[in-house]
Amino acid sequence: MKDWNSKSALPRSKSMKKNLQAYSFMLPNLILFTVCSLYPVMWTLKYVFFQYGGYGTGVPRFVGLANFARVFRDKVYWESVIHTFTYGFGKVIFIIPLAFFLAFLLNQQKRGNGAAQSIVFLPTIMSSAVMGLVFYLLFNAYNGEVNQYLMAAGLIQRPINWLGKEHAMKTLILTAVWGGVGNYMVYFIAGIQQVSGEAIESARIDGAGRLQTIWYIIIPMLGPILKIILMLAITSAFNDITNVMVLTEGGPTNATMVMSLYGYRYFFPISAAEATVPQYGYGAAVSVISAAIAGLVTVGYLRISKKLDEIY
Amino acid sequence: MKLRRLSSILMAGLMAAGTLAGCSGAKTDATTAAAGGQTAAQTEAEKAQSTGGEKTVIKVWSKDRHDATYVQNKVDEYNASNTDNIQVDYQLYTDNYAQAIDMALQSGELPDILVQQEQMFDKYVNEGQWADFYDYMDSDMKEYFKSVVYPGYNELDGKLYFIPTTGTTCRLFYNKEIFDRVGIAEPPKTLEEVVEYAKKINTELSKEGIYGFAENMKSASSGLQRSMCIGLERETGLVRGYDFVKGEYDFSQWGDTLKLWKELLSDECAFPGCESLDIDPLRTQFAAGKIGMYMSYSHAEPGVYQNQFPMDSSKWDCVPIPTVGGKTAGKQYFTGTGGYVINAKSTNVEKAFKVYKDIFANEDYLIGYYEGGFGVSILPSVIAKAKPAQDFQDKKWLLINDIDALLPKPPHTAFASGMVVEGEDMYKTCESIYYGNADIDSTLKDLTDRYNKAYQEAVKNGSGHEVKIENYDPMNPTLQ
Repeated sequence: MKDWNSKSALPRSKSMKKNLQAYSFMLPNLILFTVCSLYPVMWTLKYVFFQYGGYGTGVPRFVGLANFARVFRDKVYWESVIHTFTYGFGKVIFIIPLAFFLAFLLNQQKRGNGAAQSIVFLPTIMSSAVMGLVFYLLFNAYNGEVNQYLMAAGLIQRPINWLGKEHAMKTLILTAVWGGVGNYMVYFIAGIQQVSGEAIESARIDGAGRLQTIWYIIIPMLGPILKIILMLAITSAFNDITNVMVLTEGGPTNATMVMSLYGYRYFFPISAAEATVPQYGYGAAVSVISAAIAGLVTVGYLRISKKLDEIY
Repeated sequence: MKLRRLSSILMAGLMAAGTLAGCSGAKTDATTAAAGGQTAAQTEAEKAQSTGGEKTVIKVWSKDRHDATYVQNKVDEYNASNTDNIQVDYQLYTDNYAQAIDMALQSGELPDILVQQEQMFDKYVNEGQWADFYDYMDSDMKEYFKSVVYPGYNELDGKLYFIPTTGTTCRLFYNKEIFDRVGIAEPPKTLEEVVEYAKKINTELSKEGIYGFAENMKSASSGLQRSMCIGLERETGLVRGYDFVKGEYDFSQWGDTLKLWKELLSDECAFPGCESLDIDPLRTQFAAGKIGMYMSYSHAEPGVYQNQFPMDSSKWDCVPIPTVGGKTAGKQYFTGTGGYVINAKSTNVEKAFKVYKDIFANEDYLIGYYEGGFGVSILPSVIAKAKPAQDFQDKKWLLINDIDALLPKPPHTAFASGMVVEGEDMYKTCESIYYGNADIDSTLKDLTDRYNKAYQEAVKNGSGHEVKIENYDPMNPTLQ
């Protein structure tokens, strides 16, 4: 008997029309992807084998695998990899629990919770560069508001150098957490709202307390959404560049230099004050290896996180 | 329900407006021009053309914010009064100047006249991008500007590419009031004295939030190029570590200076947070009387403390950047500024030169520029006729002096893209010493080896050439 749902069951003209509609909807996205993602990647991959200083500096010179060999010798680059992991770990370890806590708190039907959700979400739509500048003003050692309040409250006797070698990474993580918590809160709210009310009710009837309900019922049932949230948090931490560029420029003494910024500076000056001689080939090699590292981390995470798919 | 819907719509609208405002911002002419759009001046010029005026539009690009108002006024005056049917379109690019030029060249949209800047000049001069002024200058003009023609700098192979009319160099700026308070009678003459005075100020006045020394170390290259590197040129006779006599790099001579700088940037001497300090925040703190000494460019500071961050002129002064033991083995670099290049491939080269001559090379313009405090003139005729701002009359070291000279370009500047230095550049390497734990001697030896290796590699593969000047005398430097 004919399966009226299969494509072959449709008249040829209708099938073509259906496909055409689908492709035409996909076309804008395909064009954007090709122009803005695929072409730049191909362009980058081409220059990894060349020494090239950019437009007006002559013909690119073929150097084979020399750029990759240089990356493996580059101590500063590998330190930036460690800093990226530190930054990513620090960001995720604070942002996920905080976002969950805020989602749980603000999901309840209480007056003002809607407005509170909007306020917490606001930093997400704020420009990262503007955020970096504001935090620079707040945290600078000589007249930043943070030091002034802490000294007025008697908590410190002399200003803390928040953007110095010792504390710059912590300040960066704080900026990132503040900027991103609203985004993940929204995801958690969506997840919490999908948790079965009957399961929670049953737990309550069985005598489970609030914390037990959260730990044994809600969190496990958030498994699939938590997996996606963690993946987004990890990948965004690997790609964060604007905050670092504006707040510390990767300094001082490369204490906050991250992979993405390290590669970036071989294409563009970090700031107007920076003396940069473009090295497109080396920058491309750095970018390729950084992408490979980020890819490995993502694949490793996806394998480990399969357990989060299991719902009790 | 209705209230909730209304507030949701309002909130969404506010967020959208905020996002759109953030995206577009208030478009300046420069932003519009860079985006390939049309500036107000372009629109006006096109209107003039369409009404049958047939005006030739000459585009001028600048990177300088500090004189933008003055230049725009002069351009407006010219547009209103010239009888050559020329409309000048003046556009400002500031931070992304070099990138804007690269993009404009690739798209064939380079303007007719551009403010000269070392990086863009060096990059395109060998491609015949810049016009030879000698093709257009008459004998009077050649005579007037002959004192600022420097073979090897703005005159190459018998061609004149730009005319610097002002100059800038670097000095140590100090607060006289703070010095008086701690009993320092004279400004420092040696780097050791800078450290000593900074310590004294910190010890006695830090409780009031006043510190001895500061520098804009957020960017090592920006901070060091206006301070330590300049002092080292005078102290060692080398230019950014390059020995033009031997034809090689030698950073080992930087050791003594770096030891003192490590002390100078420590908590005992320095303003808190120097490692994340930008130049403008530094200037605000200096104007507020919180910093005893810092180093920076001579052309900008008078204007800054007159207009941007007002400070009583009697409270500050400047002196040459001190060296270790006051040693002098060479001259320090001064940069010629106020120069413009003309696009040789423009369809209006002759008219562009006419605009340049009538506005930017006009003596009244140059006198007004100097008197307005936008730059220190290096033209004898202008200096003789102008009545500069009081700062330039009272503070002799703001002017270009005997200790300043144009210096030849070391390899990493002469063929920057051809010389690929592995690892950190000289500025970041110095940062690892004064802010890190790097051993000075071994780090400087490694820096020397890396730069020499990159230089030799560039010569070997043809992307660079040997740089050596026969009988080079650092006290009387020649450019070639």
